[in-house]
Amino acid sequence: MKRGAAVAVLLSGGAAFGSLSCSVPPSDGTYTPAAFPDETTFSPVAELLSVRCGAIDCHGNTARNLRIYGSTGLRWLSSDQPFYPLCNTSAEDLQTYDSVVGLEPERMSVVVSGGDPALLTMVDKARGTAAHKGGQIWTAGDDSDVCLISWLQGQPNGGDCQSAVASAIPASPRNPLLCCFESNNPTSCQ
Amino acid sequence: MRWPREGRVVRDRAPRRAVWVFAFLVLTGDAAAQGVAESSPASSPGQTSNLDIHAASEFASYADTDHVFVQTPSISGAVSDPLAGWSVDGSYVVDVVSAASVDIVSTASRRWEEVRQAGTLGATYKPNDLGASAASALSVEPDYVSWMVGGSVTEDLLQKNLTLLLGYFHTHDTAGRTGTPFSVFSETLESEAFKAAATMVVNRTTTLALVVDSVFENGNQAKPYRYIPLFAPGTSVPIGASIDLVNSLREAPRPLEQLPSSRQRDALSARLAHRFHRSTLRLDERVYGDSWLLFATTTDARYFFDLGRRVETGPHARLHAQNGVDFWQRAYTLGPGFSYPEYRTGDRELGPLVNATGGWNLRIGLGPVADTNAWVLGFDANFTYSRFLDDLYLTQRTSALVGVSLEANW
Repeated sequence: MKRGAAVAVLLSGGAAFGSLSCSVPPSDGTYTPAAFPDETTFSPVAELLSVRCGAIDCHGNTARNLRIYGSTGLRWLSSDQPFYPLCNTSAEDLQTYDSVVGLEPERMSVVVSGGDPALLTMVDKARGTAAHKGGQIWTAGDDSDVCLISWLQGQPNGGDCQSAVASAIPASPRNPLLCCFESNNPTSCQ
Repeated sequence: MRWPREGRVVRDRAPRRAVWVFAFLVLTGDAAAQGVAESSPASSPGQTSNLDIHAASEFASYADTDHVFVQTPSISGAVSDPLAGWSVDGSYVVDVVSAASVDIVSTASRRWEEVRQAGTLGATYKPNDLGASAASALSVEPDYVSWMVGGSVTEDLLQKNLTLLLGYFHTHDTAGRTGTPFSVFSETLESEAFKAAATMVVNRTTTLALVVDSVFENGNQAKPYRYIPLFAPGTSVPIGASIDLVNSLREAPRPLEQLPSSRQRDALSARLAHRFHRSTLRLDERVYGDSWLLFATTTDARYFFDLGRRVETGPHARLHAQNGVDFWQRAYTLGPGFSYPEYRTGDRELGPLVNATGGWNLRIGLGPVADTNAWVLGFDANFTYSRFLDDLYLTQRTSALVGVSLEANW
């Protein structure tokens, strides 16, 4: 009976423990601000993403978690068409920015604060270190990777972005899209 | 795979959970429902060995209107010496899942197929009124590994009219992404579960069991594939909005699901079983609450009646209702200054829902006249209708779970 009494005490204690646990304050579900990379220096990165990832059967699709807008795929304005206007619009770059930073906002904040960019699924997928339906897109350390990583780390490198875009677009015959990425005034490109 | 627990789904967990519960009931012989006043079915007249051996094989199939299909073959076995008071048991189950649910299609992904394997091993020693049990389990699938160890102590009191039980179980889950090494991406979840139970023999034909479960979870519970559409404040998004409508209304950011890193869950269950002259009634009621403010009630009833000496059959009914977690929203919105909802989910099992299950069970004793339970062929069929009260994409789902089993007892 002594053993029984001990078990009974433990049992009632366990029940009390369970009831106490209900008194823990619940989560409040409020909004949380996130730290994001610079929007004003995103344009070269948006251009890279649009040519490398923005085809309509890839991320140029509104159903994708990561939407990438641009001339060659998904247009922001319903009145716009592929290659018309020829270059990405600033509104498209902004939408792509929102999508990129909004994919994993908590992890993005960590990366912006000096964390390893490989924390981001997007970086891993592009490098091929994480499973990606589109396969490996680029290699860690190449121009495309440096373009994205340097921007994430607050040290945008437009040169690497430009060379990465150039290498992604056939140079001969000269692709008119190159004008968009080389010109300081893309609206003049035809 | 995660072990069956309330309101918790990693990747279309509901069907798998249903299969688990179903398989557990079948493989354990659903002893309580078979007659509380019956002796062990494994004890054969004229038996010379002290050992009782039980083996079972089952095949279950699940299908629902959300295009999820699961095939679940399983085997289990147990060896016990009732006189010496020990037993060991084990089981092995395979889930073959094929899914093209709305959650998958809504992210422009294709049907996926996956195989999960799981096993359990347990032992009990109860030479007299005081006993102890140890349990372990392992579940492996391409993107999820889970293991559990635990144990319990029991004591019979009042001339075995009252049995108390205290148990503790630790679970460690590692979640990853299919095709991605765990070294590149993985999240862990630790779970400590405590169980306290009291089973009373009310009279010769009636038992009552009361069970308190408390589970403390810490870690990441968010599904690494689930991204949550965000809308501009003021956007009207109807219940059951289609994939196309959601994609046309949502903003560009679609963040990964984010859940609180800790959760405390408590449940109180009661089971009443009564043996009539030629039938058995079993009633279960479970009330559940957790620190995410999800509350649920589940009522389950089974009735078995004897059709002769070899056949036992009867209906099964279950009703379940729950509210949503406190951070549940059908349509999450971006906050001021491009801020994000701190917690966000699209897991239907965390939202308000009700469901009703109806089914039928048939067990046929195929053994010799002296021991008809030496071989038992079982059939089960259950159909569940679920209503999701405040969700995108899906407002209702109908599922079927059928199984056939063969048990042998020596």
